[in-house]
Amino acid sequence: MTKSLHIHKTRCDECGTCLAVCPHRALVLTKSIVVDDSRCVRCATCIKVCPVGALSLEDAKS
Amino acid sequence: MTSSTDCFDIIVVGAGPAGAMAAHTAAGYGRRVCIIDRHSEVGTPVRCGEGIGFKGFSRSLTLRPEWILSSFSQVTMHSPSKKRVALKDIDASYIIDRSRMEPDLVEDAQKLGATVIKSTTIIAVSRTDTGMYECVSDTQKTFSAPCLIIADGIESRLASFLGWNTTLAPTDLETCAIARVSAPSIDNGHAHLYFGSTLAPGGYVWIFPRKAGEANVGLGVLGSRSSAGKPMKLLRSFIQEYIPDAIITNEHCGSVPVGPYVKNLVRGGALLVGDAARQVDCLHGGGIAYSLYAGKLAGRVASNAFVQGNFLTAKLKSYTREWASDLGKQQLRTYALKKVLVDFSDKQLDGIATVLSRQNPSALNYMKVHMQAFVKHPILLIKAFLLSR
Repeated sequence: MTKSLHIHKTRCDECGTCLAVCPHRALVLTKSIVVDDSRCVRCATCIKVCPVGALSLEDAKS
Repeated sequence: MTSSTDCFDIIVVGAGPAGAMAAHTAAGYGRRVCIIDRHSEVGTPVRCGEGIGFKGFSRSLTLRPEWILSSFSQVTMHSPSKKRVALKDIDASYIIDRSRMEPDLVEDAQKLGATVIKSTTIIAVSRTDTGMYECVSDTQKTFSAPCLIIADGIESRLASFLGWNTTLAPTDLETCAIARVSAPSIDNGHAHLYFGSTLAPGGYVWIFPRKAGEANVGLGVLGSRSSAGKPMKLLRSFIQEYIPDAIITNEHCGSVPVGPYVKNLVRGGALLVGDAARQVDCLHGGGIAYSLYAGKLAGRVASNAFVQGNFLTAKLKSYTREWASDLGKQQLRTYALKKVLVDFSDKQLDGIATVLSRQNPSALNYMKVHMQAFVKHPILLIKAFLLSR
């Protein structure tokens, strides 16, 4: 099954570390941080640097 | 469709130290300034140790007593095997209340005529054929100006709309967890720094007293040595072990760029400042002094680019030039040293601490610590201190 990047809202502190390292501009900050699935290549760079572990790859919803 | 457009001379996006200082400076020059921040309260949440040396601060701004939470002139460094190196008489450092400093700077800018827009995120920016920057907000408003100062922090995305690539490699980033703690054992006037690959891989832990019994405790991990949630897990373990009487009153996270600054700080009529420009001391990760300096410089240069009703973008180049010849040079030195320092083993750090711990604490300072740390790298030291562009 395809994986997609998921943000755990209860854990996310909106610090923006994920945006700073994303090479594909796949994270967007408005009132909260959201994933642009059309840009995300699931490289997991953001997952590794998130200070609170608020990001993970989850099975994509069909 | 956006509902309306407001026009200014200079738009500043982000009201952290760099943005607030830029807006304050430009408003002081009489420019029509608009400063926009995504938070409802300027200066919050604080994702920072709030520590700054007096020298660094006073280069750009007079320190107001109401901003000072505490001061310290003693630092104890703790090596991986818990050897202590005491620095008893360093230059005065302060813990400043950023939740007061930035709002005060923005309020002063407002008194000088600046427009302050809070709770508003700029989601896109473009430049028209006539050289105007159009910033579109999530509130469906457009803000327009010939000059744009981008100060939207480490998470900056606006720069990418204008052609900059500011993506940070994980090796050039410290991912951090920060806690405010109450603990009777916190000694006012005395800061502590802890090093070691287990405690904080490629980074360090800091305890900065805010007052007797209260401190900012933070921990940075080099991005390339981190994993999901590691900084916060390590910070909680540290507090439990090293400050067992602590009650955590507040937790936040954030990150610090620790690479070179962005090479071209100006594009057209846009200037990058602060964390968005990756302007930070790479050895200790402190960014407040750099941001205040860059914000002031950018505010002045941008203001002086308005000549007899015309905005002359060619005049903005002096921002890059002046930055590069001053703190920019210092930043590149710290970057060269940091690249070597992060590869020191725990054994090497213990060796340095052993030598330093035998010296008179009142005669030790940061420079002597660095000299000892890099004593086996004389060529690097010479290169770093001669570094220029």
